[in-house]
Amino acid sequence: MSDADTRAPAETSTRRYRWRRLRRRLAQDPTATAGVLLFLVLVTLSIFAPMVTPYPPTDQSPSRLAGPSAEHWLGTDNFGRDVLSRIVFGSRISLVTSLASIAVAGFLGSLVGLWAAELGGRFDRLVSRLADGVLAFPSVLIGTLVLVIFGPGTGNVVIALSIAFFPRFVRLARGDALAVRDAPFIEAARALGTSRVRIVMRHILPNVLSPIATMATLWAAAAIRIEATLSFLGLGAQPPTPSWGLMLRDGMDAILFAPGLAIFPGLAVFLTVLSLNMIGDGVRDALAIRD
Amino acid sequence: MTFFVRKAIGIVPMVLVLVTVVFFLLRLVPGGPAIAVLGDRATPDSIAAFEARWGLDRPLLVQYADYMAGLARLDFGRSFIDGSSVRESLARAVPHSILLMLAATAVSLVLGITVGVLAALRRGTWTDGASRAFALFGFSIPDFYLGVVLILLFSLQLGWLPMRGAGDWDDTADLALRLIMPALALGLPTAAVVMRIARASMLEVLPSDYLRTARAKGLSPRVVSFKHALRNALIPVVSVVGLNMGLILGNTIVLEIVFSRPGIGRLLIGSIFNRDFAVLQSTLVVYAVCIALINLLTDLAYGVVNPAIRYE
Amino acid sequence: MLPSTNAPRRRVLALLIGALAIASLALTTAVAQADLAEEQVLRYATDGRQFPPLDPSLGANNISFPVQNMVFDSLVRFPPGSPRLDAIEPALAESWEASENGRVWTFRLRQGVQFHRGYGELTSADVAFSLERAKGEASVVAGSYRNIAAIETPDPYTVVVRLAEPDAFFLTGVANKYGGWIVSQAALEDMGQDAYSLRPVGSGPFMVEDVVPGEVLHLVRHDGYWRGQPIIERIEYLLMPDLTARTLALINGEVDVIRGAVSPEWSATVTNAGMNLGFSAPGQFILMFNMELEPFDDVRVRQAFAYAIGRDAVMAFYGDTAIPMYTNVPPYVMGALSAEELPEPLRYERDVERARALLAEAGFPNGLEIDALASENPDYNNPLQIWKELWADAGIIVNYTAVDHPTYHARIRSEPHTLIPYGGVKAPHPNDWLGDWYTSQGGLNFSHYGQVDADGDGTVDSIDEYVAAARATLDPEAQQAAWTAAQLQLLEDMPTFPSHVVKIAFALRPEVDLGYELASTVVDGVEIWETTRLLSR
Repeated sequence: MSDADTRAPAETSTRRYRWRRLRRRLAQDPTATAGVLLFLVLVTLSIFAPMVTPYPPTDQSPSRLAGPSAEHWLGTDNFGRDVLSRIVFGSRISLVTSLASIAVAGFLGSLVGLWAAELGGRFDRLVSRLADGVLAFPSVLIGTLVLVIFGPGTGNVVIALSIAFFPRFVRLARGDALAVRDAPFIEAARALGTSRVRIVMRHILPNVLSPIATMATLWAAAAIRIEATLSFLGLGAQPPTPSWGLMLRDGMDAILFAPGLAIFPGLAVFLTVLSLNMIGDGVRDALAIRD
Repeated sequence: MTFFVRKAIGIVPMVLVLVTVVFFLLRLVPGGPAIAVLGDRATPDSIAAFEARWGLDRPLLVQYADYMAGLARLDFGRSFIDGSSVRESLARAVPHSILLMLAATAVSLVLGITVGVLAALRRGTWTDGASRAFALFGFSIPDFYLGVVLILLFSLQLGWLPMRGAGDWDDTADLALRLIMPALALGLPTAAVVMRIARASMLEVLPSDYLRTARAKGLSPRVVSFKHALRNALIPVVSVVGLNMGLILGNTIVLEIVFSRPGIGRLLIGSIFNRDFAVLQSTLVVYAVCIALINLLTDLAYGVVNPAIRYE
Repeated sequence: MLPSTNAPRRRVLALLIGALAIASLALTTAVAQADLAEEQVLRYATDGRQFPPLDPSLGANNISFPVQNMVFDSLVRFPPGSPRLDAIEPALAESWEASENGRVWTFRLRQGVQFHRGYGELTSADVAFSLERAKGEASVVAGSYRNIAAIETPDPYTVVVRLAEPDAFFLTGVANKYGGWIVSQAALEDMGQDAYSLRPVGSGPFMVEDVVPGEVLHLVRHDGYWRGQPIIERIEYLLMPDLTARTLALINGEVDVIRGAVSPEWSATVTNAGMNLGFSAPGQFILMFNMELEPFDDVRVRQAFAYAIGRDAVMAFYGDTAIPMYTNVPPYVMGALSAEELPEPLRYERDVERARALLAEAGFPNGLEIDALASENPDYNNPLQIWKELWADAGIIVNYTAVDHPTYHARIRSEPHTLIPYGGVKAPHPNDWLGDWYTSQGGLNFSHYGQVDADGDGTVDSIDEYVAAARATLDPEAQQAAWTAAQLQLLEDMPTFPSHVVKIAFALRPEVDLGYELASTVVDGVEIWETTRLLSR
């Protein structure tokens, strides 16, 4: 018996149909479209940073703490480095750390959550208790603790964020899996004697992907904000890395005579988080509409 | 009632685990407190003397037992830096953090519910659109950045509001003045969340013809049923409040740093960089207990508002 | 006019003149006193999050020093505002003499000096007690007092200190800093260690009234101060770690004195707002090369690193808040060689060509790459960021990872590292600057100078003999000769690149009249003495 036979025939086309409908709904939603566009612009700038920026981000020049000018659109910092270039390169830090941590937390967390739902019993209870325990604490605090113990740096920030978001994915995947496991086609598969692994990976997982993906988008936005917070506290990225949070921290000292150093990096965080929230909202609204 | 008692007791193991984990992990971090306190003047002799004075050269388990015994007596130890009593420092700091948290929660509730209900009543109009944009923007802006922007505008440019500190407890006007910006910065992002939920649940509860009429005529005609609807609509909001307060307490740390307020945040961050073990551990314990209590209170409130879940 | 006798008229005239005289006298006195502010309360805001213990043997950092200077007295003191060892003044000691080439020091104490809060007169017993504590195991300043062999107190106003080895510079140890501050034995025994560290009892112009940990220290004047009753009545010593908040508070008039930042922009902002600037005895910043690790065992590589960076870029960054340091003794310290006194190659002006040539000679024609550890502390990190770019021009790639400051200090002491940037403040004579860092027994000698062959001639190179020679004689010319030789040798062997001296700036409101000229200070803060006063705004 091949796999194709154990799947309900309507399923595959339902999934494809759903994607098409999602895309259409998104296109009709102006906020979501704006969000997608904004995000694409940010990602493109980030990928092509060296080609797009007028100066390398660590290049120091004698003109320090200068305001916006023709040579430096957003001015320079206290080392004479171009603020605009640093912000564009800073997007790499934000995007990579948040996407990496969400990916890791999402992959591992979803698996654990799915299996907790499937296996039940003591494993499920243990997992749930641990997840609730970690979730009781604010992400900033968890991140802070991890970074105190492991030391600062972007790599460790990814670890910290992954730990903070892992339980969320566990809870989400577990909840959705529990909701799905009583569906008729799952029962059918079980009756046919399909292995548990196959049931979880081939039947349950695809059906919980969309809610997980939706929340992943929104949580990626939160991850960017938390990374900026941790760098702002001095626990994350280290100089001379052009992390937005770190730039904001340094900008605070010069705020009396060069406020741009604080304003622009914060604005960058805001816009990035905004774009992801717009997308996430749009997807959630689109999926929530009942057939 | 037993439900809540059980939950209350359930806090204890969680806090204990946290304290234990942090206790041991902290002592594994290189660059212990001796170096942090002695700084450039650290020599092997002075480091050894420092560790002897604070009992850091004893076996880890002995130190742990000592600390836990102290916790039971509510003796939180002393700071390595200035020898001050951690309990006194916490007693001074916790009220300030709670004050900020309550103020921010008040901001988020008042702002969120008002805008949310308004948006629901004016659904489809530009008020609704503006409110939803406000929610989206408010939710996306990092709270510490908002704090910095507020400082720039109201302290540095306009000179209307003081930019740091919390003031004295006996000077209420000063206290309130210094609370405005931090409470706004902290409360606005969560106001956005509250706004959405208030709006959504309001829309669910109110019959749609009521909405149409309300839009056309204003609020006055159906005040009674409006109040009833509002009460029901706020049930989901209550459950969010608990989540909110936890979030707010989490971000209080950062905002206390931005505004140099004497709360838990300053104690926590300072003790991290100084490796001030007693302060760090005890602040975490108090913090964890606060969070757990908030969760408990939320469940309690939710149970009161929605009797259905009490018997789960 | 009525005819009358002259007598009554003369009496009236006399009275009138008398009244006028009194009136004008009162008026001038009133005008003269109108200069002073009504409220003599000084508010001093500094950078920091917590007060260290104020007991001089337990707390010694830039947060404690200004307060300790207000609360305690010492045997001698540096003139306020200009810490030159050759201008040191009597304080608790009215006179002193050194004998046996600086092995025995005898001090004659002033009589009638009173401790705060009724703890009685300061006698030789308190001096002996304080010095013994400074020397003790638990003391954080013990390193500077190890040389004390014995302290005798033949009578209540005489102290005789016998040193293990002659030390011509012993006076710096009993000046107003570190263990030189004299504590009250009676008070310490009465109050206990912890209470004493929070509210210490000294004999200085001000005493600690109250402390809110982590926020503010309240001081009041000591009416019985032996130099005279201080004009300032109360001092509030506040902790404000946010530089912008501190600066704003100064400009708004909420505080009167603040610790500032090393930044020309900050200086400009502050002076434009009408404030006055003062600078503190600066700390040096050096870059040590670990000569026990390759490639820094080769003097040519070390010289190449030095020639690649020079000092101009760092000076441009710091503006007038830093001074370039051309030898391993800071330029403001007596005995330091100036740039003009050095032969050209030893000035190590930036020369990328020479750097590349030296590297090629040493076997690195295509440059080299090394890993290093750095501290996040901006004073340590900023120069490194600047240097990294400069080194790249000479083909030197330095990959450094930053850790927080305490971890940095722990790791450089427990693990070998290639490059060790280091900052520090020492007493104002060359032996203190040469000792810890460059002698074979030095506790901060991360370059291992004096322990290895530095110039490749097969013998161990050291300056130990020069340092010992300078300490063992009271003859200034002999001392200078030793110091000159030591400095030149260190520049030739280049175990450490002396980069710059960073001043610490303070800003004061125009109404603050210190009573002296603040050109520099050992106290790492603004010294508030009995002559300091607040003028009216």
